[in-house]
Amino acid sequence: MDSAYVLQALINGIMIGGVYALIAVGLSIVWGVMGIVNFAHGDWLMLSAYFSWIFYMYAGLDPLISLPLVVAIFILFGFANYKFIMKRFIDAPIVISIVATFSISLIMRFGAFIIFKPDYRLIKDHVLEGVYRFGEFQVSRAKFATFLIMIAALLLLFSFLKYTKTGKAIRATAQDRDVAKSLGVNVDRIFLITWGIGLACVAVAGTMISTFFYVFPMMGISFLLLAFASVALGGFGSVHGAVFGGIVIGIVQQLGGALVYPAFKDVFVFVIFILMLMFKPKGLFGKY
Amino acid sequence: MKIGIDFFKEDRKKIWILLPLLALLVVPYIVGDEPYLLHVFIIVFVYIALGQSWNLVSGYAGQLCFATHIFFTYGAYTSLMLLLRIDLTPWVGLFVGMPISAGIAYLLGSRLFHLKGRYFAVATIAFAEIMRLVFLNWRFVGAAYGLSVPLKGPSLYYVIWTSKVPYFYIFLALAIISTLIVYVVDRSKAGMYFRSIKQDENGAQHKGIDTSYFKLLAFMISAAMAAAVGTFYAQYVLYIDPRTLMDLLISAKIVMIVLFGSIGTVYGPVLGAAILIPLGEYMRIKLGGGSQGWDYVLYGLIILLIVYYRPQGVYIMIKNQIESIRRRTKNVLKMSRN
Repeated sequence: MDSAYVLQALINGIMIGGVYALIAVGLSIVWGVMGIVNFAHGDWLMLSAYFSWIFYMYAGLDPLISLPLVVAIFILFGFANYKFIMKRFIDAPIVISIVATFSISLIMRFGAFIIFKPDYRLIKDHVLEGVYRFGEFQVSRAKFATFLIMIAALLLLFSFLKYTKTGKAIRATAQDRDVAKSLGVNVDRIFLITWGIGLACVAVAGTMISTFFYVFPMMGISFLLLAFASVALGGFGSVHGAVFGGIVIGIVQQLGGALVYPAFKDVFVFVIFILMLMFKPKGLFGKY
Repeated sequence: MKIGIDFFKEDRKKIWILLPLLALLVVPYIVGDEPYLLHVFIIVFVYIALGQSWNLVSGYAGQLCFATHIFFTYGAYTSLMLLLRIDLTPWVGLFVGMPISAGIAYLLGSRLFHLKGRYFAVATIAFAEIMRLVFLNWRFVGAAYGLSVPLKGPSLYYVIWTSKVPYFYIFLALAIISTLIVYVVDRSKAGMYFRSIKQDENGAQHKGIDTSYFKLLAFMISAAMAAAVGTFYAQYVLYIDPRTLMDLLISAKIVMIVLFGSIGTVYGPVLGAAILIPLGEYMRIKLGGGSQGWDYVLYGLIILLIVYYRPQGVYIMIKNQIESIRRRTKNVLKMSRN
């Protein structure tokens, strides 16, 4: 086994890890601010990938062009999801809120199954077709662009959380909802915005995934579980932890698959996931 | 721990519950040779038993578990492997599968029960996924090909019959036994401890309840129950594989059924399975033909509406309604007497 092979797997891992990171950030911010485990997160991803595919099929829009459109739509979806459904479950017992998001997930997943049929869809001939070659390594252009867009999106999100007033209010609400409320933060509005951010992250990830991955109704669950693993590693509720976790999970998955046994690549991920919960439930950067 | 022996006394009034049971006993004679209807009944019984298993650990002890389908699979695989390798009857395999399942529940629980609510829930999901991937690649247990039940019999020894009627009675018995277990737990001291853990774990600990012992107890009983169902399920469907048995959707379905019926009650899972499963099957027949997603969409919609408007579930809803009617009639009677 030569080092180039390992390095190639490492590069693949970092590239795919960027996607996991972006999905995980959306999951983690909703978990951190509201304490809700969003089981429908993967299915929102599926839906955004389908949006990108629909724009491509019926309007001829390249995923790169439809990206802002899909994100805008998904921010609205996030608002609606909170306003009409999830608002009711903010203070509900965990089992109730989990089952609520799970039923949303089922409706979306099997709704997509009925509407779009179980076929695997692929967006062909987009701008990002082909590969970049660096010496003996190669990176698919789509994955590379995804990685860059992921970094841009995360920088945007971090500066939003760090420097704007709303961002500060979001962090305050995540730290202590009651204190934030007593300091005059409109918690209801913060929850609304958080859902918007969560789904915007997933929309970026979903649109970019559609450039190099099949789009099909059942794609959500595997990404959801990987995002869970990333969040568990980085720390539940921590945003930069989710980014770190996502990239590590991507590397572990690709290296494990390349070096040990391809069919077991996800086993390594879930073993890390469960070990993390056993011995360090707050993750590397999170709070418990 | 005293298991309430006097529970028959306080529930003598509820003797009417035996009536639907008696009615169920004669169902095969009325339905006769209608395999599909019997199949729906059997699936209802399977989900009642699995629902009670989940109800015990999550409804009573409050530990949200998404790995019930894994314990179910352990039961199915253990007895079937024994049958295939050493020609052992599933009736004995049943009592091998249950301790194995309970043992793994013990190992898992003792490592994970320090986690709070949703952390435990996602940890059981991680466990379930690991198990699914392991079984998918484990040659010894047939990997992704799965295992087929050897077609010997029909005989009681191999638990194989050509008719569905014997299976009907077996699964009916399983549903009744699991409901009885939950019934006994519900009225026992252990049940009280479970509920106190669910409501306030630290408080329960301060009152001197060994919370980790009782959580493990609930988890192990639950796992053994699910394994028992799995053993007979394998004999019934004659073919098991990780893809269908270890699907997270099975656990999700169990959770939704119990939540629909009323979580943490004895009759909730019964009611939930008896309503939701036939409804899903009906939807599948009516809207079948390629679009097999309708039953899940319907489940999703129903459960979303239930948790939105009546999160306590249908059983408690009905119970409250009946109680309020009873109270009203009592008041009316009192007034008329005056």
